[in-house]
Amino acid sequence: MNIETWFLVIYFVAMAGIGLWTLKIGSKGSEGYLLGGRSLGAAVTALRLQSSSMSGYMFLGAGSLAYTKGYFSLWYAMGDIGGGVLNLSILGRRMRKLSQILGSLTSIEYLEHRYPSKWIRAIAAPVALFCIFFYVMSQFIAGGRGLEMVTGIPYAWALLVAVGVIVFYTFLGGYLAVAYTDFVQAIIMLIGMVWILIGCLQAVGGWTAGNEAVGQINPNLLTMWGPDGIESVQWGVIVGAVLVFSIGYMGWPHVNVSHMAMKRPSVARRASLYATGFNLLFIPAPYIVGIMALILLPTLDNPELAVFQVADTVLPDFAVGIVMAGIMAAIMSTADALLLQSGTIASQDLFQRFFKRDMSDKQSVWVSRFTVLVLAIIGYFVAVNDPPAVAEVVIFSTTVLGAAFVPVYIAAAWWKKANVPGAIASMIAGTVSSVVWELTGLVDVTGVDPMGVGIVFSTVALILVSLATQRSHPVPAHVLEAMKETDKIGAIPASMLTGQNDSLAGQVPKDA
Amino acid sequence: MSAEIGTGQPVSSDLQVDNPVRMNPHVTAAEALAVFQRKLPGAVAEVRDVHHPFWWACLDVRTRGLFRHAPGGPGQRMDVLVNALSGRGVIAGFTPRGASATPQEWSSLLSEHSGRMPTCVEAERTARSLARAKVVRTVKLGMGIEITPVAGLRGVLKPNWIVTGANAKHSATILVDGLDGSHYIVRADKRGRS
Repeated sequence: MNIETWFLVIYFVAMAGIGLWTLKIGSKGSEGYLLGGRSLGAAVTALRLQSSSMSGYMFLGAGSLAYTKGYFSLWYAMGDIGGGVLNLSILGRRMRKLSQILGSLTSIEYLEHRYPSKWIRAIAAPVALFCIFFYVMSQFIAGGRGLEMVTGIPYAWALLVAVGVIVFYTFLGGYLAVAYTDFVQAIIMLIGMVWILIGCLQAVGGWTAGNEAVGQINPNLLTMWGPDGIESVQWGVIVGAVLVFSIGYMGWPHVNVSHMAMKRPSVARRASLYATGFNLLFIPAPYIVGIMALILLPTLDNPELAVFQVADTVLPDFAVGIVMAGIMAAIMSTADALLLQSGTIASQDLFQRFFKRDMSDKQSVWVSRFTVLVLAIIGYFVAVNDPPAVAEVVIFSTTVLGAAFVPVYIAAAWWKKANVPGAIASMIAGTVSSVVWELTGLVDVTGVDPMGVGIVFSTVALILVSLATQRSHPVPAHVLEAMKETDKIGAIPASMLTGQNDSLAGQVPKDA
Repeated sequence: MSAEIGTGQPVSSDLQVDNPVRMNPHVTAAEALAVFQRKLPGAVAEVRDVHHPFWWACLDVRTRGLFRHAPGGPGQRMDVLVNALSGRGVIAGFTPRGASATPQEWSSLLSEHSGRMPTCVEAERTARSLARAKVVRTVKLGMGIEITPVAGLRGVLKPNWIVTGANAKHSATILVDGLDGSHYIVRADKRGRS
């Protein structure tokens, strides 16, 4: 077994050990173990936001895009760099405040409280589950590819090990593995990626020398217009590329949960500074490594392995092991969080809510376990038989989530006229239009990215339907009051926290 | 206290309790009036206390490891209140305490209600579901969750305040929670309109 594999084995054993230890702590039933709180500071909020939204894509997808399209891929990087700041600036403070006033704990629950109708959950939960499945699958593929490269075992077996470890970790990892480990993973990812970048630039003789060498392969790769030059540019695709990750983030339910967990609404401002710093350091690195891989590894069979292969080529063995452990950590933490969320969505948001309201404790947990296992098995077979490119899967699922949820999340915090029919129309229009646009090949015909189309459709649907149904479906008074308070800077007044309490409606005596 | 003496039909035997608890309000009448006047500045209002019947389930919630059949150590106690009329439950952040009330007071509050009321079994199921939902949000899938009732369901008479009054422009009636001061607007009208 080589040294890289040893590092990975030690890492897996350590993670399993932490999981078992956490279970032991949990089973002692210590006071307060079950209870969480809104307590995350700026640094943890920012880095958790970034690490939970990047992970496997950055190590496989970004490198692959750069290897095949040169500096054109930086359109995606630009969206990515600005995404965290935009998300925190537009949604951060308001979503934190509104979610507390409305008493929401999860991002789908937040939507249902803001747009009070069971149909909001009935539509949002399956769409989120569908897209999360694709994102998890991309993490499986990333984990499998990474293991394959490091250990040399065939992809099918490497994938099986990666899926097994991720599912094992999902079942055994304790609550310690949720927020603060995401923070640690982000730092490990950053160190690992910057290490690869430095090694890569040293190997090609510096950035300038590297660019000159890339220019000799194809001068267009050095431009932002793609390998075929400016004549073949599809501006709609470029706009979509920037949109996907700049505003697509705002549609991710698992990313938006970070806003709701902030200690105070004002944390959003400082968190956006941290997010920008992290993004500027981290995000360009895999793209530049992917471009430089054209020189270091000109005959690479699978462009997705560009970053891994460059790491293997330019770093000493022990460093490859550490970096690989970091990469696997990032992949696992994201996949674990997403799998858990999908289990919760299936059991709480769908099964218990719509099929079996009197579900017992055991049944609920078993629905979650079953969902995770089914998703893992389906994900494995799709990924092993005809593995799609990680970048494509991530971009597709981000596109659908963005088109379905971005307008409703933004309007939830900013537009007082956004109502239930508007939100339902928006989610349906965004999902259907982006999926149809992608699957029917309209991207190539029109040169317009599905993200742009989806966002336009869902935004127009939200505005038109909300305005048309203001009389029949007015926004409830308590929501309007909460939004009015959300407009203001500062702490939530006590009168709002002890505000109109709908559960008291059931306690009104007959003679009141 | 006259508001809580019901005049409706007698309740079935399975909804009767032996020794219900009448909780004392944490929010005073003056504070309830202040809540009303915050909504309706300058209003003159009258305050009267009322009680609402709740089922109180005290549950012991334990988590256990994947490979352990029996949970170890003390569990976490959860007190859940289930509205005896509507069936809606809430996890209480406190243990209901107060003076003993008579079973007749409990029965009379239930008998005022003409609609269907949750049975004891349904109330307990609601309480367990709430406790489970809270736990499932934070534990991992490998854990088992065991919820056992510490004692049988008890009846609790929860205090509230009904405040009715008006200022120059509006008249209103609100229900103020006797425990946390939150409120529910029962009725609000412009003066001169019905």
